[in-house]
Amino acid sequence: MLNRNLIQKQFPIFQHQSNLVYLDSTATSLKPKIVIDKIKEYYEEYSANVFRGIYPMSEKATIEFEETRSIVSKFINANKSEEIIFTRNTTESLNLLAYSLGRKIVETDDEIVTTIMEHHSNFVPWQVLASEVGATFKIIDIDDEGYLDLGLEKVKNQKLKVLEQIITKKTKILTLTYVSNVLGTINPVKEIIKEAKKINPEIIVIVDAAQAVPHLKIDVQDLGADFIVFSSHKMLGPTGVGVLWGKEKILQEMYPFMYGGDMIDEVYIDRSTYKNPPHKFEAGTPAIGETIAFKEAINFLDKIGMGNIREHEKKITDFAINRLIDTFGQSIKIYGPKNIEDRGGIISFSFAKFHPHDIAQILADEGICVRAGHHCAMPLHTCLNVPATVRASFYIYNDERDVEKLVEGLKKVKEILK
Amino acid sequence: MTVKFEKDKVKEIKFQGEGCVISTASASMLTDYVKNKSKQELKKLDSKFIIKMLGIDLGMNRIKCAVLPLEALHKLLEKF
Ligand SMILES: Cc1ncc(COP(=O)(O)O)c(C=O)c1O
Repeated sequence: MLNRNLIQKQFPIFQHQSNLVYLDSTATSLKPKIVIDKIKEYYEEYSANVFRGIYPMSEKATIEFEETRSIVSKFINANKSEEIIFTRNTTESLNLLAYSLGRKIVETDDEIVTTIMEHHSNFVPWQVLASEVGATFKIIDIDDEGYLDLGLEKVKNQKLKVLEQIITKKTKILTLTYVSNVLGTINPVKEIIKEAKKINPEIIVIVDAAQAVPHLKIDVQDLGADFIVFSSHKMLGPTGVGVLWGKEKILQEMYPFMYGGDMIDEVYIDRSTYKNPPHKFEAGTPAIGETIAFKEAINFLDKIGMGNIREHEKKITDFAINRLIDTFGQSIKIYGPKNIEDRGGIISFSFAKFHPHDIAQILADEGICVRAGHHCAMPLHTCLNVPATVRASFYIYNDERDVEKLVEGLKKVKEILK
Repeated sequence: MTVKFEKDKVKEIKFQGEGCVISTASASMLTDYVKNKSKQELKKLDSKFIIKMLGIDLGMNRIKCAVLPLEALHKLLEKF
């Protein structure tokens, strides 16, 4: 186990919010002091624009900014840092892809494949694109335990579809999440990509890694995807910074996303030419201080070690599932895989007939932060046949004590709402 | 939500649904309140009224739970 006390000391929020039980890192993580200090450093010491000034302060800002790009690149083992594009968040990265890639390659009667467990940001942009161009929008279902229904195992019942029936030569894009932000399911992304590319070597695979990069060691070259996207704010970094990693060759062929400053090569009255990636996709002044500070978050994670983080989360999650079931038995229903190896540090559940908003409210009064709602995954909740769930999620600053508080809080919920 | 008018006044009103305690309480109190009120009076009700009616301290995020039944009522009135 990681040492919670030592880690919490490095997060100033625990000094401001006493007895904070923060179980909502899936929504956004807390920030360590070194990240906050780095933002301050930029604003106090060299708050110039990037790529523009010849003077030293602007050069310093540019060097710091570009250093983050190279640290992100190494962190996910990209081929080169030109393949790292900074956006505002995962949502923007996915919309960029739907716009700049989708509108380039998807035509009438083509197919776009996604899954029922996607966050709205990896669902709606593709749904809209498909309806605009007259493409077919196909959805991979889940089974009762919250695994993708791939038919990779033996066929258990009629509902099981085989990947080969879903992905065809007409499938231009397969886009799926690595880890479900509701079920916690860790999808066998590498195997899926391999299978998909076997069926259709031309297929472009996009992986929403918003819930994966903060918690698992990711190696994009090993994974075999064409694009992965994630957000700084879910991995100890500042808000306002997202990442899009893509293969250089495809990035070069894509349309630009936004037009304007910084992405332009030359502009004439009748035409313009654009910079090469990554700058082609980074129009306008970015979140400079935040991007600069993002590297401190990665360094922090690296120091702890992604393997240790995963082990830590596995232990808490396993402990939490057992504690909840031991304490509340049948009255608690936990969604997602039972095998801890296939599950991230996310537990979504229903509790008796109590409404998730009421549960979250009573827990909030006890200083426990959980999320209640459909967690931006309405199609999944419709599929689970519940309007909303309560979600508790874990990160490096949590341990068993937070789980015990949650259990105590839920006992109180039962008392009040019974 | 179903409502029965007699002349211009609410004769009977019922609601059905599952929700959190706030929305359920709000629906229950609202349906009590609106009996014998006219359509004009109902149209004037707003979120401020609901918050006062409930008389509890609602967090920012739960005002929408509280106002949900009123929205349903207003939607219903559009049909008359
Ligand atoms: C799986 C997944 N995808 C996408 C997002 C969207 O991330 P962001 O809000 O940073 O754009 C989230 C987070 O809410 C998520 O959990």
